[in-house]
Amino acid sequence: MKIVYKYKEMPSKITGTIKRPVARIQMFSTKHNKWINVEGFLDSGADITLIPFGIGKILGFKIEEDKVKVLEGVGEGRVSVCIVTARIKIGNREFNARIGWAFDNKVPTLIGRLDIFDKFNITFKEREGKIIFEPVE
Amino acid sequence: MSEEVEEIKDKNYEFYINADLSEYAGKWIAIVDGKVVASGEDPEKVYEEAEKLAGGLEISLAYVPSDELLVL
Repeated sequence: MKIVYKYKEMPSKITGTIKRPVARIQMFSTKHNKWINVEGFLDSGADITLIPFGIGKILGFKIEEDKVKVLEGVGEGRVSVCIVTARIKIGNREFNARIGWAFDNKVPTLIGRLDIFDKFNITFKEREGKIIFEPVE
Repeated sequence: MSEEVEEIKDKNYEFYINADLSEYAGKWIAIVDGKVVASGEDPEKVYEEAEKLAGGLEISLAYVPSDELLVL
């Protein structure tokens, strides 16, 4: 079953408006023993999914010192994270993915490639404002 | 052969896609039944507040970027 998500148009001081691809991702919380719904931005250029600190707390993650890393972005951009494994559901496809749990709440949930983009063929239809997820067997 | 395609019909997702959320720029919001029920800088606190108000309905969490943010 293919799932269709949409773009959200948002105001931007830099470009006037900007359209961002938004996917519903569900992550299992061991703390609350239920799935948590998060609307995240799809980021095909991101090597790994990033979630803010508070979302990781909701999910019940604990910091493990040996898994704390600094992720480097473009230019001088750096963000400290703990690499954790999340139980994720997109549509009815459920799987584990390694993600970066940022020590910062001022970051959106960015859905990156590692352990996620290999589960789907993802088509970005920018002009139609749609993103299509086709599960890969 | 027909292709099975499911367009997401979730009320909270649709609200996030379509609503003008500029008053929440730079914050996390919790959406319940197509309405913002809580907002703030810490998504954990936002979720806990929403749980008290949700009455068992589904909660969605989303970030509203400021208009100065570009995702690189």
